[in-house]
Amino acid sequence: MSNDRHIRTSLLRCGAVFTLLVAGLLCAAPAAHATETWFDPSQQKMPSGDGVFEVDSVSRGPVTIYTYRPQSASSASPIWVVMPGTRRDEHRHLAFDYYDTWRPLADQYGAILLVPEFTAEKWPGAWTYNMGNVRSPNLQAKPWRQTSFYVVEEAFRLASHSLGGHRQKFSMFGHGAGAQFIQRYVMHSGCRHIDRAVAANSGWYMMPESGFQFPFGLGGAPIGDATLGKAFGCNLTLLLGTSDVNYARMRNDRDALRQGKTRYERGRFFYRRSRDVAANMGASFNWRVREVPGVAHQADRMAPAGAAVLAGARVANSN
Amino acid sequence: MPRPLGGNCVFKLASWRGRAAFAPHFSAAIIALLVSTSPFSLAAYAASDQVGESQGGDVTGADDDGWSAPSASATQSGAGGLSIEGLMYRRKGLANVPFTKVGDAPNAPPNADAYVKFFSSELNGMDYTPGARVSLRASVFDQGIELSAFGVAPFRLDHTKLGMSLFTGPAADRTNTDMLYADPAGDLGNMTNSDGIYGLNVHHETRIFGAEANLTSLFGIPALSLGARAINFGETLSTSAMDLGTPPEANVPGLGTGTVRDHATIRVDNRLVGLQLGLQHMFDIGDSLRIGGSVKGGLYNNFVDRNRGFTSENALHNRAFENSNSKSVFAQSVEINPRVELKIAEGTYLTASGQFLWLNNVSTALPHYAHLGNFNGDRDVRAKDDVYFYGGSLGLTIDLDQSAPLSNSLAPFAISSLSASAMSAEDVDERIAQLEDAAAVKGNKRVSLSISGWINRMVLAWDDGAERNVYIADNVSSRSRVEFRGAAKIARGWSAGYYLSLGMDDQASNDLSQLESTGEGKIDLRHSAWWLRSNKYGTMTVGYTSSATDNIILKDTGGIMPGAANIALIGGGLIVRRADWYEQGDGALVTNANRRVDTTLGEFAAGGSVDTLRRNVIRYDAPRVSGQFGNIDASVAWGEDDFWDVAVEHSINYNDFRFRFGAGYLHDTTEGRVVAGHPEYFRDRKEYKGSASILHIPTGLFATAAYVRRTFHGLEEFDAAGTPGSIYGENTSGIVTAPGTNRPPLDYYYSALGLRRQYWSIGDTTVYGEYAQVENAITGLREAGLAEVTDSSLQMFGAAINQDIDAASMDLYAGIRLFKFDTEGVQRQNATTYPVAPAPLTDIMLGFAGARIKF
Repeated sequence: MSNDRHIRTSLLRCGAVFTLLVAGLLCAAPAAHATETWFDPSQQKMPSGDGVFEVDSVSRGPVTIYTYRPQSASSASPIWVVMPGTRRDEHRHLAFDYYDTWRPLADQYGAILLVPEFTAEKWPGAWTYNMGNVRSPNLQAKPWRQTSFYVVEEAFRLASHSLGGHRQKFSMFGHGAGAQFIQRYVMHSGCRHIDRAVAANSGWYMMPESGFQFPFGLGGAPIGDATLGKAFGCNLTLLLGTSDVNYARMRNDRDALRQGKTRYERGRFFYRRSRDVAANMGASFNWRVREVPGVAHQADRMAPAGAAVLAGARVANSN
Repeated sequence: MPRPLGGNCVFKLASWRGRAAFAPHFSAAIIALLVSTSPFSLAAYAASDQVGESQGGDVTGADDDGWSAPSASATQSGAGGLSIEGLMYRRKGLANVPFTKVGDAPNAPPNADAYVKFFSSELNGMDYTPGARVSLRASVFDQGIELSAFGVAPFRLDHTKLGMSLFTGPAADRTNTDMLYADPAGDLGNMTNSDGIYGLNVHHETRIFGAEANLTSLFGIPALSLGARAINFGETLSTSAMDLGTPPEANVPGLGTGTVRDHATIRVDNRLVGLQLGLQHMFDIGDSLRIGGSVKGGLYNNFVDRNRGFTSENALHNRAFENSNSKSVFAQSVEINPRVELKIAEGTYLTASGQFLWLNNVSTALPHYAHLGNFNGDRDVRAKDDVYFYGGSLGLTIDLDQSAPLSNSLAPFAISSLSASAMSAEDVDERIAQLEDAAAVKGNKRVSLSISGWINRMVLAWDDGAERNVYIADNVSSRSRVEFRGAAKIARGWSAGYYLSLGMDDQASNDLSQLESTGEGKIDLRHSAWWLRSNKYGTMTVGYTSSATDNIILKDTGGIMPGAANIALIGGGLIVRRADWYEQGDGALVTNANRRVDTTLGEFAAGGSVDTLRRNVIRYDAPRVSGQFGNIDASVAWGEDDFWDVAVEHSINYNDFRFRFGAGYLHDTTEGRVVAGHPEYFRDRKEYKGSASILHIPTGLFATAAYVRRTFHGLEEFDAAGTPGSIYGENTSGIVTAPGTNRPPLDYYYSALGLRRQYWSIGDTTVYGEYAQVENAITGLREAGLAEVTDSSLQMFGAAINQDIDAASMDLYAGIRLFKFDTEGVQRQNATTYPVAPAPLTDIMLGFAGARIKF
């Protein structure tokens, strides 16, 4: 290696490192702009734009709620709660991906956004998050305040208080694990507080019948007929991507396989069976299925259709 | 048989025993077997097969809305089997050949019979040896299969005679004994120490191991099996003759330590690869006893290698008398295994079997001895012998149930049957969460802390061809460690965190050797880095941690032992041993005089680690790109001094398949020493590396492969005499090649093929075979006892089993690995360089068993 070449190589290396560092700093710069405003919803009004508060009356520790209030929002604007999917480990901050996806949709429809962050560190696994943490492993019912459902209700209550007005209900959207959360919340709560709910591409369901063992159904963990009847009357939309047919890494316990092989199959199965159970109970049935053509298990691509449903816009009815 | 959902292929464990309703008496069972194997009985067997499957209880069926539930075969257990047995083999078929003949002038004895005869029949020692066999029986695509591997420790025979020549005293008492090959007119010219010998030691070793994969119950005939089989059978014969001279031989114990010795070595390796056909069946005799066995015949292509060497210790250049010959011939085998299984618990049987294995048309070492004098002319590998082994086995057979419908199932929910009044684990968890939260909260900001890690200790047994030992070691393939991780949110979509990992380096499995049974006794820093992450822009990591290509060769879907593709991490410190050396102790290890510089298994396998080592780096990971095509991750890193690498990874789980792929490139340089602007030496090497792995979930079949190519472009320091140093190992020794020549590229291949299934509820079981090959890892260097290695190759054959125990976050593993070395190079003595010749090294066999438990 000649002397010139050696020097040239060294300079190139130094330049590469410098470029890398500068790029890193440039990347870090937007963080300053991404900072949201912390507020106490019991005493302060929800800030316009990006905000954040905590629900701290939770046994597992405070849950962070990211908020977005569009400039156009009014005291009558609806509150939308968006439930993230399954990858919830703290350092990934998947909730932010949902937040970024839904913020323009909130602008578009004039809705106020709440995105709770149930970190996997505090709410590990499907049992505590998707399934609501409603029962212990020996299937004993837990106090409502220990459930993840309570967190969402409390977040709504605090946000509503912060915004003023007299909202009694909110709408919610969830994809994947978030959709499981919503489906179960509807059934366990009897749809109280829910205006519209969209469960998109859920991996499996809690069937409203005892022929499926909990958590795949109500076997061993019943829900009263009155609550179930109210749940059937809920404005719940099952949003299914027609291309969500990759069944790899899906839960396939016996009672999960009975629901179908793919998310798409399971969604349609859940709808049909729920409709039949409601009919047998004589309950009104207000659930519906909507399909999103050509979309697979992609939360961002399901979001526009979900927002349209929450906003009450017409979406082609597939059932 | 009903199909599972969507026509998904069924993976159903099945018994190699078949499923006929067996007659209570053995004779009746034999009749039943013969009848059932006739073409007329296939339907009856098919029917009984279904009966057998339904015994687990069909819990599924069509729902009232007409939807068909998955079939019983997809959800219910069937019986498969895992057998683990200890073997005891006895070797027969050793030819009887002479090693000595009457000596000639100037001390010719008075008659032709006045010499000490030494025949191979006089060899004594352990002609029986222990071993192990593991067999797994299951079903793939509705076809019964049996995978089996066995290996035994080498058989070793030995004998020494002294006082074999006597040139003084009464004429009638005089003897003159020559080695059989000592022909002054022959090719081996230097006969000083083989002519009129004082003593002779003969050492004989036999090696055998193999693996097979059979289709069982072929064509619906329960007893019929057809499969592929590979058997490795080899022998090594080595003789060491000591001259009748000074020092006084009578005062030398054994053959002493003098240099007046000649060593001859003949090594033959028969690698049989072919097909075998057989009958195998077990009959239930009552509820607790099964009797049966197997008879198999095989036809093979026998790849025969013969290597011969002759060394005179006081004339080192005669080591040039080395050559190799190869040939392919047909070979045959017959194996008979009568077997009894006694139930000791539900689904668990104590097994005992007889073993008989006959191999025909194989090459053995002894018949070559008489032709050693015709060293250059004799090229006949003599694959005309037959050998047989017999013995027995004792072990356990465990019936395996398929407790999970498909192995891609997520872990089942742990529904407890505890009384409602008891405080559940969940309640305790809730309380702990409350307490932890009370301690961790700090205003609105929190930096989390999680502590994790594992202990991975193993029993490591090794055999280097002369010495055996057992150590307790830390399995560095996945080193014991404690890790601290944490993260804190900075802003929306932004987070920062740290990663500190400390590894145990007290008894590392790649530090131990024949000369070192204790490790370094220290703690090794693995990671100490912080990171800044944006969901949108990616992650920047700074500190001592992995660069982009670290772990890029370790992609795996099959559940093989973590880090298995980095083969030098177990036993890599073992020093290679000269195969053509009489000395069976430490003296035959390839070390220099003060034993500070040696050639190890690890150096043959591309150095301490073929995976990229951690270092101080700045690393950037791009945000993951996800879609229907799977996930794509890209990363780049720069590190000291100077180093950069880039990698891309792809992963996808698509229906019945899991696929992982990673590839990367690195460039590692160091300035070295620069004098007056002129670089005197520097490191400059590049690597292209990657791996891929695919798993077919319904069958559990998987394949994993890794590849590394390392090229050298740097310059080594040379002394005044033109001898290159070894600071970076960039150049060859400059003896055969021109000084300053870069070492040739190193190529590293690894592959594993196996079966991964959740046979029982405790977790996935993976059984696999593995093969690795490393080319030119030491070529060009002053290694393996050579002044310059001109060609070097390492082959590794292995088989292992890995059992996950989900409830304890634990892996249990056991395996064997055989390393074979092939090296050529030149000797240099008194400024004379001798021709390129093989430098035979003994095989190294490793056996290991251990566990990794996470916390």
